Amino acid sequence: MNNSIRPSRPQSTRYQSSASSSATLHSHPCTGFTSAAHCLIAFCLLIALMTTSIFAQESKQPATNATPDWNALGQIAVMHAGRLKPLDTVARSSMLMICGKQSVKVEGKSMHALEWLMQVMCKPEVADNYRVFLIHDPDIQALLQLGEEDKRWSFTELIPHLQLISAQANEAQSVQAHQRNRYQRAIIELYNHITTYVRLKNAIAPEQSKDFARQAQEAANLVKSLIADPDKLTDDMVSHINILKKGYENLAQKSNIHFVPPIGELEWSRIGEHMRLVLLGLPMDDSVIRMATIRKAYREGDWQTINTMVAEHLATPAQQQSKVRSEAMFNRMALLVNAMPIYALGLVVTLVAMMFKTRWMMITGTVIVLAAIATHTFGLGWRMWIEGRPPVINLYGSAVFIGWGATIMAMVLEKIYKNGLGNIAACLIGFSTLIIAHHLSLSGDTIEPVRAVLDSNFWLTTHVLIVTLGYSSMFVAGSLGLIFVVRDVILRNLNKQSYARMGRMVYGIICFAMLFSFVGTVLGGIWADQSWGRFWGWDPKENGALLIVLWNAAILHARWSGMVQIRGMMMMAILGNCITAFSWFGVNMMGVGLHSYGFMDGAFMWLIGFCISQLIFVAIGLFPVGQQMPEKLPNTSGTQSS
Amino acid sequence: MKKILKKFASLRITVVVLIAGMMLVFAGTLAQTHMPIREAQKIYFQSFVVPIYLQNGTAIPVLPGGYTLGIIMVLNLLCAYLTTFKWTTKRMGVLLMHSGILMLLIGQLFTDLYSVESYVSLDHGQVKNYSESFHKNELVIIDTSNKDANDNPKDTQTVYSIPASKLVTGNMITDPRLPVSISVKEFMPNANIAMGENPRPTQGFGQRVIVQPAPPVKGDQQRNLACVYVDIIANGKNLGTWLLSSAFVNPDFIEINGREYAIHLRAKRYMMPMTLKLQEFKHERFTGTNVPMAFSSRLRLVDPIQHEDRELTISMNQPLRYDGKTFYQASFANDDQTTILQVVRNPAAVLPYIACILVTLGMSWHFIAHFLKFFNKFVKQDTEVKA
Repeated sequence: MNNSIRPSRPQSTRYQSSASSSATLHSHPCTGFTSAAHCLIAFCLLIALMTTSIFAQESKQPATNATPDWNALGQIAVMHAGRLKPLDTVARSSMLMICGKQSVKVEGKSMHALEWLMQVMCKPEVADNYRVFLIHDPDIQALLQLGEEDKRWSFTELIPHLQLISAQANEAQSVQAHQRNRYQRAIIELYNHITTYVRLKNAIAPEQSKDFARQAQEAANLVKSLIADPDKLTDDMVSHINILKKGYENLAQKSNIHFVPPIGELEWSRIGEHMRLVLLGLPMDDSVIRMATIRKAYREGDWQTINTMVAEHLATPAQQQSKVRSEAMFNRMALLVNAMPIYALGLVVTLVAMMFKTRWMMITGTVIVLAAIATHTFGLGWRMWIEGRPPVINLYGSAVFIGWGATIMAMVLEKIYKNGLGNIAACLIGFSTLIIAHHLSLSGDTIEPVRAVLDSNFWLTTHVLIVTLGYSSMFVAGSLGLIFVVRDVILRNLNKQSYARMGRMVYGIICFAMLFSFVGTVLGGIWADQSWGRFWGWDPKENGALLIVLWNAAILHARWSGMVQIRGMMMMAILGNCITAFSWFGVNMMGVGLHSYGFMDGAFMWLIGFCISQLIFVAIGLFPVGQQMPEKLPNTSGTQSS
Repeated sequence: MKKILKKFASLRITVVVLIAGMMLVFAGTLAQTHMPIREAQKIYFQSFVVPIYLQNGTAIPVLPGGYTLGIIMVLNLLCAYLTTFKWTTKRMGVLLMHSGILMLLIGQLFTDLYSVESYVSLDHGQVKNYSESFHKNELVIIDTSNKDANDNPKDTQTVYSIPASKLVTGNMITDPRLPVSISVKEFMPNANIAMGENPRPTQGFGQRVIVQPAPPVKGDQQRNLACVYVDIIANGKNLGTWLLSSAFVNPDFIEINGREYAIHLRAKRYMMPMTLKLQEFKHERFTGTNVPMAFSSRLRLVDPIQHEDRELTISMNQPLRYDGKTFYQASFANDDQTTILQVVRNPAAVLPYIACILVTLGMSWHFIAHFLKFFNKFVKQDTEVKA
């Protein structure tokens, strides 16, 4: 179909401009009808694609008794690490932490996190042989004399080294957190992973126990009969109860999933804790028997019993947690992961459209990018609703939110300029921030309880969100700078008009970056004054934010004074990427100061690599080729004559 | 004259100062990996030049310090307003913005110069009418003849306080208001302390303590244990040598002219017109973790002059403001039995708030006005092309 020979129809043109999501690559005439039709087709296709891919996992589970009902199992609400969450989240976050992946390969077949968790909890002797422990630190590999053929090791393989690992980790613990070296951090991490794993093994019952349900029932009956008739108590019984008590205490210590719902004044408790109270006369909660029965049935491959038990358990009042169930679904749909390929697709389509100057493809590209943003937005909003907090409470949240803010800004630019550049910026930033978020999620559950210091929704909303939007705008400006270098110096396809246009885009975005980062930083100061009594303490994170403010001010003043022209401003915007990345991650790597709650490791090389790549772009941008035009200050600037 | 001012108003200077400021902030941030914040702050931001030290100890200035940059920035801004600035409504946003920034800089300077930080550490049920300095000490001589004073805050004791800065080795402290004269034999800003026979002091608890001078520590969490050997002279008679240390919990006592005086080297105290009593300290953690969910102190405030007697709660993000000071929940100790409140007196605390409002208004005015103008123009262009 050749669009360019069709005559344009004025009424449909109007329709098109109000349909607003469409993009104009260049001003050759085209009909609104065809573009709208293409747009519609593309959109329908995309929706169909997304729905199938996202809900594919949903419909995978037949409701028969041929397999355990994983969906239902994943919905079981438990208290873990200070938060009520579905068992599915426990499985995923533990597995990501230990294994660095969401699934493990067992005998050539891929096993998902929840199945792995069930194996660990119910059949630990089998699960011990799965190679899940990710050890990539060369010093630890050397210490344990592990071969190099694999990066992952099974618990059984680690057993001979447990004492060594524990001793080494203990030694490393005595060094202050920010003074530990890479090896020390890695050994502590490994030790923590092993502890986490052992705790999962003992989550329901002692790992060696075969039939905990029967044992627990017997204990409860014994106590009941003794309460009814205290005279029956014999010395043998006393010693028996003492042994049981020790066992339960041990179990409580070794596990950290709270399966037993609150009873009266008691909070959510571990099965071991609860059973210890049962020995003191507390009536046993049915959840213990149900979980123990599930464990036994799982050992025997009796899926029917599991499904009945799970259904029964989910029907109890304590399990009626809509947020927990919704979270299980949120995990399965993995919107924030699924948005990544859509961004990538949007990028490819937009690039192809720009290359061939095909208008309908450009519209399709925009639609795909919008779909990616919609997925991103939905994921962000859903996550917010689950945690009941503003979106940024940790680094993970900041990555998702920075990407989101940047894509929205880029799309506003796209709306204004309709030249595809907004699409590219949106895809680049959306995709990379979600990748970063994914890597950050490897450190465990991304919805964490908020520490007392940060527990103020008002400031989390104002200060944190505004500062984060400042980061977003810096990245939008920076990525436009990158596109500028590619087009002007490498491809040399920038004409005079687009040159000036890009200059205006970046200038405008930097103004917003200035506004957001300044206001956000000062609000942070006010929060600090409210809760710690000082407005400004030269804390690394504060300094990082200040660097961004100063850099924005420098860019704007340099532009106004004529020290730099459009190209110089682009170079400064690219350097802004480095400064923002330092402010976002670099200061956390230093591990000092009040804001170091988001401490992270191992990403340092990535940060350095990123900064070097940006410097290379700046160097390329300084080549004296490309548009050489007499540059004037844009009339948008608030010139202060000099 | 105007020419010179104009030279000084150049935007190029602004850009250079901003970039120098970034380098300074960057260096000052990296420095915090190997020195405490307080130290880095002094070297980089509360200084005129930042030196680096060579192996042989020679200092080479490498960066202008925070004060220098601040001054240049203010001058640059003022010169611009005196010469090149166009006083139109359109430029009001810029004016607002810059006056806000000026206020921030001044506020920071005032805070550096005049704010006082101290803390109150209260055990369960304890009552205090003073806060203590984190780092400063004082030598006090207390007339204890009015013994009830500790229990009844309305009664007063006479306390003679000598700031630690006066305790210089070889110094003789005499004042007609003091009941005694003090000859400082040796002052140690920090020392390692152990129990054991010490022959040097002839009086007091210090005879049983061995001190070894140590280099002062600079950490934010660590405290120096200052020690001093003093001779006390009353009525022209040398009463002996005392060893005093901020590490000693209890004072030494001397009798002069039938009156008993306590003598003590302790953290500098800031008196408050009211008393605070810790009723309860609450520390909640998230189930199954050590992550603090909330901590708060329930206090009773008694101010006999203002006739106030009430209970209140200080928690994270919820300080108490009283007597020109602000009391924040800072920390806790002693198995959740002790609360530690930080006390800040900052006369310039309000400036950043005004500055924030000014700058936000100015920036929004400026940028939004430009954005709208630009947007309108663009839409107009767009419609023209279509028409």
